[in-house]
Amino acid sequence: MAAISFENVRKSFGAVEVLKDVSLKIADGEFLTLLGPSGCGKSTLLRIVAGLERNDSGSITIGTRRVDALPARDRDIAMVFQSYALYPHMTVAENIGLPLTMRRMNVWQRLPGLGAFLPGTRAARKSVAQDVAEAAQALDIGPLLQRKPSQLSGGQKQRVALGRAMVRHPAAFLLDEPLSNLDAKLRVQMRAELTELQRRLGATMIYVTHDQSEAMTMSDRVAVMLAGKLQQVAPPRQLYDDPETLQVAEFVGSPKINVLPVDGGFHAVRPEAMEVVVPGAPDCIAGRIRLVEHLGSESLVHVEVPGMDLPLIARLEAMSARDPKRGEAVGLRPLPGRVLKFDATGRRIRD
Amino acid sequence: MTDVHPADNPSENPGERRAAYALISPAWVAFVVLLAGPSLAVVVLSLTDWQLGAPTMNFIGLGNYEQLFADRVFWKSFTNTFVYCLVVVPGSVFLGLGLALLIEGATFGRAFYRAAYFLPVTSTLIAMAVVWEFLLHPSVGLVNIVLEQVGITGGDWLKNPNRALFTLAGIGIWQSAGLNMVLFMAGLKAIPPDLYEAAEIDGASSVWERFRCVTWPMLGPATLFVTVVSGIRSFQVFDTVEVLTKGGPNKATEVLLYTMYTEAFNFFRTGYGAAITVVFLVVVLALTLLQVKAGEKRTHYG
Repeated sequence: MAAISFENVRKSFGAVEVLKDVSLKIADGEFLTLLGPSGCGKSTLLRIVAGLERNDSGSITIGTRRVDALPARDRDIAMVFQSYALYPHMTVAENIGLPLTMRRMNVWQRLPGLGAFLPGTRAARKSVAQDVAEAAQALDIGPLLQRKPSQLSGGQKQRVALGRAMVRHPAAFLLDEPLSNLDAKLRVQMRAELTELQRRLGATMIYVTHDQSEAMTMSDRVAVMLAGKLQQVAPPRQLYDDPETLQVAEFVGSPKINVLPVDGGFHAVRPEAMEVVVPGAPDCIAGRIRLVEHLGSESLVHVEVPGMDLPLIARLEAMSARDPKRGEAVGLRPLPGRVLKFDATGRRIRD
Repeated sequence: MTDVHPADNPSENPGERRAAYALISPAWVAFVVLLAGPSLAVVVLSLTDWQLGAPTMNFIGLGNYEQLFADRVFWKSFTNTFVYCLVVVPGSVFLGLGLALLIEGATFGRAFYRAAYFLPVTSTLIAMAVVWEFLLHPSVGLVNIVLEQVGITGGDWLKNPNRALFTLAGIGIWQSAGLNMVLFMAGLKAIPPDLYEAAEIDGASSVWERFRCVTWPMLGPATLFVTVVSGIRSFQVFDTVEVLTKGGPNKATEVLLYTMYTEAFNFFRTGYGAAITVVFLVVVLALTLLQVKAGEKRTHYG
């Protein structure tokens, strides 16, 4: 395992600048998530680390080696693709074993038929089979080793793809939206398993996703990327409670944070920091309830405020004494100390 | 469907049943008139001694087949057709694959090369055969003139019995490689780029390993299709034989369709020609089934 760092990485496709001067240090054994909407450059950054794309300028270091000029195979990294990218004509065992076969056997030894008669082939095959079995054991896919990918479910394919990444103990794992092809229930389960696996292997992982719940639940740190720029890199909790910019505050958190234009800047208040009070109470924003969403443990109250395009949202505990009704006139009041202030450019103003 | 309501089942509702038959009838009529009918007619004719235009015919059972299997010319023609296939199928499949890979890998002029290599497919083979006749002329043909420049005596391409069949096979490869190339290019386009990237990271990054781990196995369905189609097409070789050699010299290029044609339309032995056609159909069917069965085991769809 190894630390990874980027310094001043830039990348353009034609006239479009996808990465604008990205610098980041990822610690050995850290689970770092690149979070951002599609097209923000997060996948490009990952592919640059992998060696599938070349950076225009800047440097990338894995461990102590600068790798910009190295081809993908020599960077000692493993990648898990959104589509899993399993070889459909190979069995699960062959899929997982391929990275090892490529490294431990030479061209002649790999030849089908003839290879078996060359010295060293049997020993190499045996060592590969051993490591494959070990990885399969860790991922609980031992019984599937002789199947073809077409005979596997989405979750099983995912595990095979992980197995292929794990088997050669790479310096780092790169995961490109690995869970987005799974159904919602399996995704939550794999989320937990993946985190578990990462802790057990002590692996450095860079995980790309546009799904903030994945980013918030799995990561040691989250790097929020918008329009080719790193906006903020912080642990999930801090990202939510203490965003550096208005864009980050708006991107992280669901439902979205309430933004109030206030003389030349913005005040932003999370829905759970919004109190529903009687209209006319001091320091409150008057409005009318447009919609109440009952989510079981909580309710979301959408309040239409005159002069604002979007309704403000307050989150109420289901047990709260108030039972707001649609059409009711109410007041909204931010809880003291829970207002985040930003200047006109969206930069955070700290008191 | 776990519970089928009687009214939902067309076989129990006369109106819907009529509609169902009406809807499938065009396909059935076309099938019977264009495929099943003629095939059956050929099989029936092959059991008679009918001659084209003759007012009467007699059923002679398997007489035509007995005569056929005792005929030296038929066996020559049969083997020639197989030899032709065995040269043209691998030749045109691998040439087509090679062209497709080269053009896919090219950085410029792709449309030009694609069109250039596809041209023989679109041209009329009869007309092209005449062009080949000029090119292959022993003394004034371009091929031999070029060969002479590098010190090789070309000789006679079409009148040398040891060479004529292979010359025709060469023209056959030239003619069908373009179609195979286009089919392979479609196959190459369908390979997900992720697989190449995974292969690169897994260490299978040399040209040969990429081909062995990704391209070749992923082209399985395309290769199967191309091989079957090339097999059937080359089994039907006729135009070049008719124009260039007329089955000669000394039956060296006699092929099944040409034998069938001469028997049925030059000597008017329609019954005998029909018997050859039946043999031809059976062989094509058997070859196709064999290739599909053999290929499917090694082919991975999706």
